[in-house]
Order: sequence, then C-alpha cells, then structure tokens
Amino acid sequence: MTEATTGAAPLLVADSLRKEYEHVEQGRFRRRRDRFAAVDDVSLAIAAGETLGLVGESGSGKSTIGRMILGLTAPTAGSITFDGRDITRRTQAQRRALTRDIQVVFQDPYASLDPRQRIEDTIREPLDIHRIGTPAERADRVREVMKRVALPGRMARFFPHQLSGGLRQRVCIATALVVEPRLIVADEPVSALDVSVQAQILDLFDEVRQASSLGVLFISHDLSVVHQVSDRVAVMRRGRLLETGTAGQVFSDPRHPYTKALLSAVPPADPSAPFEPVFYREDAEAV
Amino acid sequence: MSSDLLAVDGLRVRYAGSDRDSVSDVSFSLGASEVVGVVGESGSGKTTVGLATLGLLPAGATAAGSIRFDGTEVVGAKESVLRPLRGRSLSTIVQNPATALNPAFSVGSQLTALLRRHGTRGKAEAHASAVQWLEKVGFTDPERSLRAYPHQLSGGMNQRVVIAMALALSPRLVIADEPTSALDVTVQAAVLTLLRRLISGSGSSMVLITHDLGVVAQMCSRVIVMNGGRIVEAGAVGEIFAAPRDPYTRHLLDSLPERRPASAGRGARPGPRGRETQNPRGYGGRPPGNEVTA
Amino acid sequence: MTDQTVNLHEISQEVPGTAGPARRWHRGLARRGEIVAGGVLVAIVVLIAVIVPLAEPGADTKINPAGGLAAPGAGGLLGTDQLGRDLLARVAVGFRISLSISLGAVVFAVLVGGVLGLIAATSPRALDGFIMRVLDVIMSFPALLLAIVMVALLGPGVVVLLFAIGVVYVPIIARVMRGAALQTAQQAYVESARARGAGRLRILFLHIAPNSLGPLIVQSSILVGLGIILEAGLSFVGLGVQPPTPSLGLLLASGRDYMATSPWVVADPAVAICLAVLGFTLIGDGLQSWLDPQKAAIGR
Repeated sequence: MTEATTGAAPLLVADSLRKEYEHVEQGRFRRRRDRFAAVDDVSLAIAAGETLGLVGESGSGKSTIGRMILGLTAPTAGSITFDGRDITRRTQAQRRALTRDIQVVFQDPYASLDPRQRIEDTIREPLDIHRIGTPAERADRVREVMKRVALPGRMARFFPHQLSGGLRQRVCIATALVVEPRLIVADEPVSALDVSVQAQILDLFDEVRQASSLGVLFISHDLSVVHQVSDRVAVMRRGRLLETGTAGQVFSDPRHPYTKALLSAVPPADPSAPFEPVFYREDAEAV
Repeated sequence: MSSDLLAVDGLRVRYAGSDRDSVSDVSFSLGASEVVGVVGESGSGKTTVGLATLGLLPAGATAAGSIRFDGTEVVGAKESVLRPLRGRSLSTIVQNPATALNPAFSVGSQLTALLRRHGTRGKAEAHASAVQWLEKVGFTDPERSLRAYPHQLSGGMNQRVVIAMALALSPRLVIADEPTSALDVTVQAAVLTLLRRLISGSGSSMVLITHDLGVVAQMCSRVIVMNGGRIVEAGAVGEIFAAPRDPYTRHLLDSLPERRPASAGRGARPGPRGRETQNPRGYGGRPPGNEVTA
Repeated sequence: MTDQTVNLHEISQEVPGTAGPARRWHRGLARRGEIVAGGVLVAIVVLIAVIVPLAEPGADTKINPAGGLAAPGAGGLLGTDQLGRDLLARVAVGFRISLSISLGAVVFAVLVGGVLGLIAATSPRALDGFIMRVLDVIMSFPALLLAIVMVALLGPGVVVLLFAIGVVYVPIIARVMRGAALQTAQQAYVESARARGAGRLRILFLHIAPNSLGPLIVQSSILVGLGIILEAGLSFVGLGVQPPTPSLGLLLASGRDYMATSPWVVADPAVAICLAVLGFTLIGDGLQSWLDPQKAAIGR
C-alpha cells in the first residue's frame, strides 16, 4: 500500500518496511535472544521537490528508516523503490553508486565532519568518490556550492573546529549538494544548533529544495521544526507509522491521539497561552 | 534589598586558560517563592552563572563580584561554608540525570542517604519519607521503584528521582540547569508540569536555566536574557515576550518557529518563498564572503 | 534590522577566540613542560651523537695504550676505556647505533603493526579475532626471550637485532592502533563518509587512520626509549651488536671488568641510556596528556 504524495510520481517509495533487531540478553547460564521490530510495517513516499517530515520521539524508529533508505542497514522485510528501481537490497557497489542520487545530512555538525580535513576537501570528497570532473572542475564546483549555502569563500581552507555549529551544518549541506542529488535524507539536521541558527539552516533547506526540486526526508523529534519545513508529515511511535498528512492538516487537525499528545506537549513560547499537555494513554504510566 | 533570597552583584567569571570573561557584570536578585528563568544560547554564560551560585566553578576559574545567598557570601567562600548549604537549602537539578545519580546504588538508597545525612532520624522514617517523595513525583509503585537502579529506569523516571532529591529537604533555592532538555517532548511535558506543581506548592525559589523560550514562558515569572556572558535584558516574562526591547531578545523570539512567517505550515504558505532573497537569512543584505560579489 | 543582528551573531561565533591551528599548537605545547623537557634531553643526546663523531672521525676506535683508563677531564671529557679509546666518541657512536636500531624497530612495528591493527579493527569478527590471537601469541613471550630466540635462529647483527625488537613491538603497536581505530570508526564523520559512498580503503586510510594516530605516536615515543634498553640488554649478553662496533650495551659489557677501579667506563654509557630513555618517555607522557581530549577540554 502506497499513499499518495502531493504532485507527480513519487521519487522514493518505501513499502511495508520492517526492521528487526536481535536483542541478546546474557543470563547467568544461557543467552536469551529476543527479536524486536525497530520499524514495523511502515510505508512512505516522497515526490521530487517535496519535503516529508518524519516525526517521532526516541525509539520511534525514525532514524532507522533513514538508514535503510541510505542503504546503511538492510530492511528485514518490505521494499524501497527509488525512481522506479527496486533498491531494497544493494550490493556495496550499487549502494555507492546510489549515493550520487541520495545524499545525507546528519544531526551533529560537530561530530559529522572529519576534524583533520579542510572544509574544501570535505565538500569535494563526494566528487572524488564518484570521479566527477577534472580537478579544476571539482574546485570550481566546490566554490559554487559553497556560495550556494552562503559559506564565505575564505573558509575553504578552514578546519571544522574553526567554524560555529551553524557554519558547520552549512558545510554538511554543501557536501550533500555537491553531487546534485535528487533526494536528501536529513536526520535531525538542526537539533544540535541554537534556535537562531536553526532558523537560518531551515531557511537554507527550504531554498535549496525549491531551487532544485529536491526530495527531502526530514527526520526530527522537534515538531515546530518539522512544521516549518515540511509539505507532508508522518508521525511515528515505537516503530509504527501512526499518521500521515499534509503539514497543515496534521498540525491543525491531528487525527491520532498520540499526535495530539505530541502537539500539546510543546510548551508554547507565549506566557499567556495555556500549557496543559494531554497524555497518550499508553504513555501515562511509562514516563 | 537585604530581603532578597539571592542577590548577585557584578558577577564576573573567567575560566583557566581563557583570555576573556565567560560571565561579566551580571547582577540580579531573587525573592522567596520566585521562579526566574535564565535564557540564552550556547556560550551565553547561563550555565556558568548557575555553577557560580552553587560555588561549583571548576578549579582554576576565577570569580569576582558578589553572590549573596540567604545572608551567606558564596564568591570566595570556603567549602566548609558551602557544603552545609548545598543539598539542603540550596539544591540543584542537572540536565542529565544519569550523571546526577550514582549507578552503583539503588535510587532508594540514594534518596534515603540524602534524607538521613540531613537530619531525618531512623531508617524507617527515612524510608517512609522516600516512599512519599516518589509518590509525589508520580511513581505508581514507589516501594518497588526504590529498589531499582538508575539503569533500570527511563530517563524521565530518573529525572523524577533527581527532582525528588532536589526538593526533599525543602530547599530555599533550586538551581535547575536545562532540567528537561535531554528528555523526549512528551516526557518533558510531564516533568515540567510536575516541577511547576511541586515548586509552586513548596515555597522554594528556582533559577531555571534553559535555552527553550517555551519552557521559560510556561514556568517562570521573570526572565533574564543572556548573550555573550552579559545580561541583555531582564524583566517580567509577560512584558518581555510581548515587547522585547533588546535587539538580541527580539531576534531570539523572532527565531521561534511559531513566530516565524512559515509557522502556518508550508501547506498554508502563499506561494514560493525564499525566491526574493538570494541569500539565506543571516546574510541578508551583505555579501557572505570577501570574494562573493552578488 | 533583525537580519543584521543574526549576521553579527553568527559571524561572531565563527572562530571562537582562536587563531589558526598553528597558534593552538604552540599554546598547547608550551603548557606541556614534559614534552619540552623530554625534547631538550633527546635533542642534547642526539646532538652529541651527531656532532662528536663528525668532529674527530675514527676517535672511537683509535687505540692509545698509554692513556688507558684515564679519568674524565684528564683524558677527554668523559675519560677513556681500558685501551685508551675516547669514551665520549665511543658513547656518541654507540648511541647512534642504539638509537638507529630502536628507531628502525619502531618504524618497522608501526608499518606492520599499524596496518594490521587498522585491518583488524575494520574487518569482520573472524578475521579480527585471527589477527589479534596470532599477535597475542607473540606477545605472550617475554620481550627479551623472544628477541633472544630470533637472534639465536638468525645469528647476531645490527639488522637482525632491529627486526627482533620490531617483532616484539608489532603486537603492541597493533593493539594500540586497533583500539584507536575502533573508536574512530564509531565517529559520525566515518558513518557520514560511508553514507556519501566512500569505499573501504578511502574510509580506512583517509578518515580512520589519520584520526587514530594520536595514541600511536604516544606509544611509539615510549617504545623508542624502551628499544634503547632492549638493545643494550641484548648487546650486553652478546646477542646484539658485535665488537668492535660500539653500542651502548656493548660498552657496558666491556667496561664491566673495570667498574670497581674506573667507574666512568660504565657510568658514561649508563647515563647516556638513562637520559635518552627518560627523554623519550617524557615526550610520550607529555603527548599523552596533551592529546587526551578529556584533559584538554576546558569546561564552560
């Protein structure tokens, strides 16, 4: 079952994805093996030029979905189709080839940049990997993409520790954009940043998406952030997809009680607004 | 203003090996039963203010100015002066409960040890008090939970234990540094409402250090906004959120997703956005680099 | 106007109170007295070893029967041995040989052990286990015994000695490298490179190796010092450098008989060994505490 996307034929379709992990408990005498599903029957679709926000709390399986789409971990069941091709199981070579089309921006810009690589080398690396262009063309392309994410050219020779979090995340986005991918998986891309810097990076995402009809899977625990960048929103909890819909619909008229609880849990930054969180029935005991 | 519970005057802190002050010229005061938010982004010095108030600045840090807590000068005070205060009349809630609780002992033994160290006589009495406190912070089976070790409880539950330990001795002041930032949003909501209820019923004051303006809006009566180690603005929460005077405060508030034009959601946004500005926010009107001319 | 504020804010954070990496390096280094002290010690000993033989080539083997066992000051700065050879020259040449063997052994161990450690860290568990168990077997022999066995099999000599010590070092280096690489492999930037399509070799040599060198450098520095002791020990018992080539261990051995009457004959090489070992160990310890991020970090 594949649900409809806004606009044309979907760029990426994930159908009934399931990912099981084995949990081994070392008892006094024997090991007990348990299997649990980090992702359980999740179907998603992303169209070109569309941002799908994937929201969930820790343990919801949202990052596992991203990792399966990136080919960093294989699904236990279900299928992933990119641009009409089945990419569920990828050989190492296929996975590497696909990174021209599917790129990634990770959460922590402090940790996701190699501390010993200069900014220009980091941004150029995907071009080196895919042997795109001559060295001179690569250098041009790096300058171009740095300009696009508003990184001052003089920072090309900098090392990551010389940059603030926001600038580092611009580097990560530039690195993702340099091969002109068609889909970006962004896993909590602004969660490590200060609020004011978040706003700038979110605007950058929006701008980039519009300029190149890029599909974006935007994974975040932060509802307000997802609200800001997403066309459509999918809500996950404990491996299951509870609700999908347009951003407007999910945020103004949530159907699932968990989504309602999630929305009511954000303390409004308005002292006169009431803060009366409602709790999802299953959570009431557990928190 | 000798009636103030806490009076910070001209506080200046510099860490060892740093060539600039992390906190400079910070002054504020706090009365009884008052909840004040200290808000700022990373590097604003907000955490340093909290550590200085607790007298817990790392070795080598130098503090100048004055922090008077309940008649005691904290800046430059000896450990022997501060130790009896800490935990009893001056307690703390940190961001990560995993670092506040000792993994080698059950939460019950840590809670009763705290109670007994500060005057509760008798094992049975301490145990009864511990059970009561766990009930207050929302444990449904406190007897059983007292026997649990920190790793057997979730982050939210551990933070509840930490809150119980912080409030159990009826402190006059609680310093809470990002008490809910490590928690999931629904857990944060539960812990915040709990903290709000317990503080307002206890007569304790609280300094709530956070980056989250929503938390400040819902928990505090007054707010102190810090940037680059200085206070840029302070006042009643209602006034500052409605009409910030300082440009930095205004900028912080404008960065909030719910206050930004996009906050209606992309679906409700009229037409494509971002086309009109070549540069993203933050570089508007100014070329981003020396070699970029556009 | 808000935009202007944002701008200032972000730019102001761009370089948090630092100049380039070069300045950080200097400041960090100056704070580590150990590295400086160790460096000075090593520099002094190495300078002597380089300059003295250049100043008077052949002085180390020039026999002067009349001036045998002259005390320091009377016959040369450090005295002479039983055959009247200048001890300063002999210690200098001997140190050259000892240090070359020790350095060579460490380089060999870094090349072999470093690569083995890298491979082990990033291989499937079976291969990792196999490599490490083989190295464990080597490591389970006492270092001196292992070196003795190798020399006994291959015959004494400078090159054999170098490899004997190198083989002793391989498992040590491999372990350090594997540990560091395992840690680096978990960093987000390695995962990030993988997600961008980087192949195994690129990840191994461009991302993991450069970021795992810190502990390796520390260990190497300490092992260079230790190597001088190992060399001296083996040469002392006659399994290392053969006369008339002077090495520090050999100088100790040949001076043994005259120790009671002319203590400088053994004191000279012994002090040279001590200074060099102390120097390299100090450098290693200093580097360790300097590179240790937990100690280096300053709380906010």
